[in-house]
Amino acid sequence: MEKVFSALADNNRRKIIELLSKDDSTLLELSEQFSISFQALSKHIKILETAEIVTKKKQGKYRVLTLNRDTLKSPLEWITYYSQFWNSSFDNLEEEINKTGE
Amino acid sequence: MKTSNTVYVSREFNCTKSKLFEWITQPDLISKWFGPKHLSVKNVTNELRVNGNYNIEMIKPDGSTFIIGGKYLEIEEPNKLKFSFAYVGLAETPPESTVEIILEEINATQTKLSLIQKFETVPADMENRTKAWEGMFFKLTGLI
Repeated sequence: MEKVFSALADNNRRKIIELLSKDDSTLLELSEQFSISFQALSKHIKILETAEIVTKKKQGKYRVLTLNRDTLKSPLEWITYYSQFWNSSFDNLEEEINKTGE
Repeated sequence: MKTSNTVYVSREFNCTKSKLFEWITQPDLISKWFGPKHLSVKNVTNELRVNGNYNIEMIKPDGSTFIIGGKYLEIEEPNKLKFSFAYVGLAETPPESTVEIILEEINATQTKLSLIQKFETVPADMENRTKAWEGMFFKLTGLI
């Protein structure tokens, strides 16, 4: 879990996850979407692999990257909890503000 | 599918920007709305200055209490408020985060509030803790 959060704490890695959430992709295909070097991108992929967020599979002569959705489930669940925490709080706030007629 | 460690919430309120800023910074006003419906606020104290602390004592349905608190990191009245957000007094503590609230005027009587909560600090024993407090929260929110 800790590895997952460290892995998520980077814009490039979040972008990789976002792209892979749409479709599996090769490293080369991904690199076209980034301005960082191929080496830097490989490093980010490695971190995502270590955190088990991304899996590399051999398909023919290519290595295809796939998103491991199960690994992300827990963090996403508690992010959902916090969205609800604030939404519910703001429901109360809305009610209070409308009550005072301000 | 949202894949980040950041929570975004935005809402429009029927009041001016300065009034909304009061609602999110004055202890007596915070106590009226803060927290989901199953929790209630027992006491709020704050020192509204950069590096000043705030403490919100919450009561759980079983009567026990815990504190949500932190430090104000940025205060730009009535446009922006940024503070650290941590739990104290819970057996299973969620990771610390930073909350940024931005207020924008829509018109003379309406204000848009945007909240960004970023989880950056991860407790060392997160792996063991996560399941327990997740379960607790989900039970509380009625999701399980």
